[in-house]
Amino acid sequence: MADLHIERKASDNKYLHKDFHVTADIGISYVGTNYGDQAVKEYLTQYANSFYKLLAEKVKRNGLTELESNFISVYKKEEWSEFLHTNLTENSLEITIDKCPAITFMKQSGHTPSKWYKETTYVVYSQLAKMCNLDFSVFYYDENDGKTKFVFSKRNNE
Amino acid sequence: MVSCTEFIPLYSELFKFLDKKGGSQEVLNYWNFVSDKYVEPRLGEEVKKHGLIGCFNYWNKSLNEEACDFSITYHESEQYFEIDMKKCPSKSMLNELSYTQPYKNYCMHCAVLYSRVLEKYGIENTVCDFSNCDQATCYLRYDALKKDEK
Repeated sequence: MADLHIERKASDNKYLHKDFHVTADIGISYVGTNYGDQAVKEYLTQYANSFYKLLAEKVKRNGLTELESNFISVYKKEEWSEFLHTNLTENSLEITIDKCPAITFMKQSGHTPSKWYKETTYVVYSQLAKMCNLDFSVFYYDENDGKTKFVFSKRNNE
Repeated sequence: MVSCTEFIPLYSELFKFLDKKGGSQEVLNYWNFVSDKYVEPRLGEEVKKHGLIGCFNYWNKSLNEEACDFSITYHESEQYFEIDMKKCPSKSMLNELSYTQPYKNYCMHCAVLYSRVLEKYGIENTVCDFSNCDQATCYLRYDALKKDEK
């Protein structure tokens, strides 16, 4: 066999490495196994505080429409738009997800999501809401496929 | 859900979180753990089946999916494989998130994760140039050891 060589520009490909879902869960599971449930919450809260800083500022400035746009954008990048439904009203943003792209991929690739994976919805979005001065509640979350419905809503005194 | 397109900040925050818990040794413990649990069944299996070309197969898939600006080369006669990372999207993303500080030794996970697996199959990381990793570029070379070097 001769030498093999490949050269690529970033623009040649779409940024979509679904294996990162598995690596994310391995990290969460490591924290949960070695440091406990509370540590998972601390870790994911730290992540939300760090990563969503800019988004939270936009939501506080421009309202729930920024949050809706963010969900639409994220699910578009995940090539999962058909499974996302949003309902934006003056006071709330309701999100329904028929099945989770991460859980679907993990299961397809032979990785069983850890018992802490659901916290990427409960903890991360709860913290995001807090940063945006919003309330957050989850109507349901199915750990089997990540089917979920949750709502971000304006606080009564806002 | 944390999107796979937003995984890198989650990864960087994990290293920071573990560093706070147990210092750099705990981060290293985690890198070894993820190397065994995630990299071994993927890169390790490729190399077990195909030898050094397995490196080419593995990184050809992952670096394309990660939309890197890169070149990879498998040198048949000299028996080495090299990665010339011209723009790493992970490090670039962290650099662009100016409002948050990435983990101080973020790039080092690449050196640890893969070498640990490849050494088991007689492949050594002979060059690991992270001198420009702040600009999201690096160079890695892996040499297949001759039988008497293993």
